[in-house]
Amino acid sequence: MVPSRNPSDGNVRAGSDDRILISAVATKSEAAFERLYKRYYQRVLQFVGRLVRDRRLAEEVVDDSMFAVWKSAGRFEGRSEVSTWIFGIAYRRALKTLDSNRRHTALESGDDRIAVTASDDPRSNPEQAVTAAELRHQIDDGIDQLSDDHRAVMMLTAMGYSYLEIATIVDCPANTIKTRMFYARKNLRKILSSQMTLAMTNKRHETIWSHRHRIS
Amino acid sequence: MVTQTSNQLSHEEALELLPWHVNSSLERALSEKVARHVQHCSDCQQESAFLTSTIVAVNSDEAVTPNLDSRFSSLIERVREHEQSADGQSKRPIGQRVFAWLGLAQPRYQWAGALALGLVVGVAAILVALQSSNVDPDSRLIYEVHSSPGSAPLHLLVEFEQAPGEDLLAELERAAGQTITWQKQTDTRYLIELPDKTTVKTVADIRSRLLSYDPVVEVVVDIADDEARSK
Repeated sequence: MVPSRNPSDGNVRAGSDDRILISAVATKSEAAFERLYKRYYQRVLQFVGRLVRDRRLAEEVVDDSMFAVWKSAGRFEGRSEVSTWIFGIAYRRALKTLDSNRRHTALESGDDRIAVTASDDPRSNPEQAVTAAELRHQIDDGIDQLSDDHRAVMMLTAMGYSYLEIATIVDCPANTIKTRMFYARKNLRKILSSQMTLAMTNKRHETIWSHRHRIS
Repeated sequence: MVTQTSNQLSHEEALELLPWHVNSSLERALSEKVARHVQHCSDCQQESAFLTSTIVAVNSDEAVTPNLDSRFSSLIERVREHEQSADGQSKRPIGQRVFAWLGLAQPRYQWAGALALGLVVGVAAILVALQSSNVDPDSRLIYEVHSSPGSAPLHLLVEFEQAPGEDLLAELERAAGQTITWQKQTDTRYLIELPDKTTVKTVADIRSRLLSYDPVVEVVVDIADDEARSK
């Protein structure tokens, strides 16, 4: 089992600290804002970076999100955790950035870019055939190819959020989150299988090539 | 749907909840149920391993840690600028704030904005006036006519086809349903003084009742005479 990084996993102290910080930010305390910023920057950047897939853009989105936190701290109603609230702001801003970027560059959507050629069998287990480092790299690539919705749910789950918290962040019902996660896993498996097939084909070509060279 | 009351989860239920069992965010009772299922299900064990690899991969991002102090300094500058402009905004007159809100920063745009605003208000006022003048007399909207102190009371000017006799005037008084004091102007023109706080509906009623008598040619509210009298 993966060690918990879950902000909701009994980490009451962090939650109440966050609430104290956000109350202070609401009274325009720069010191509290700095603590909140430094506490969340890396995690929000990790999440947003995966969504927008551009480091510079992601940093801008995180700063914009934290600026929004400063401006709207006074309106935080405490109906969710501060962490969930901040991630929700960052998620919406990341989606907005993605939308405007797509309009400008006419990029294809993540789903369209998934070229699945391998078996759809959910029981196929491609990770067994590669080393841990390769697998990590392939999973990274695979997640990048998921649709925005699937990628967000996958990322937030990997970051330790519960499905109820994810539902709050992306503002949709909990059952939708479960469904999205189900399809995200399924699509990720397809992508990994497809990558595996490609890698194996390349390897076979390399073997044939070197074999022919040896013969000649 | 997760049947939380039952002691065991179905395979589908466990599979659905597996990601949050793996990331340890499920509540303990539910997590234990998933764990019990996983123990005996090879598919879920495989899926669990796959999810664990995914989570490890995501969390081993080798992100370059930015210089948070310098990033925060830039952000706090932005915050201070925002606060200053917000302070400035709140000290500005309300008109300027409205223009700023509408994005009309330059004076010439502000003139144009003021003109447009004036036009809109004017048109709205005309529409309201037209609406008021078209009020159905039978509607439930009843406006009282008040005379201001020192001004002349409200009068109706009644024009007859020919000089009316005493009988006709008495009959008209009964028809009007009001105590009417006839003030003779000419042989064929009489003034009726209406009491203060007579409603618009009552005025309209009296007029229509008087007009239903043939000898009565016209009944109008005597505005001109009021003005003349007040002078």
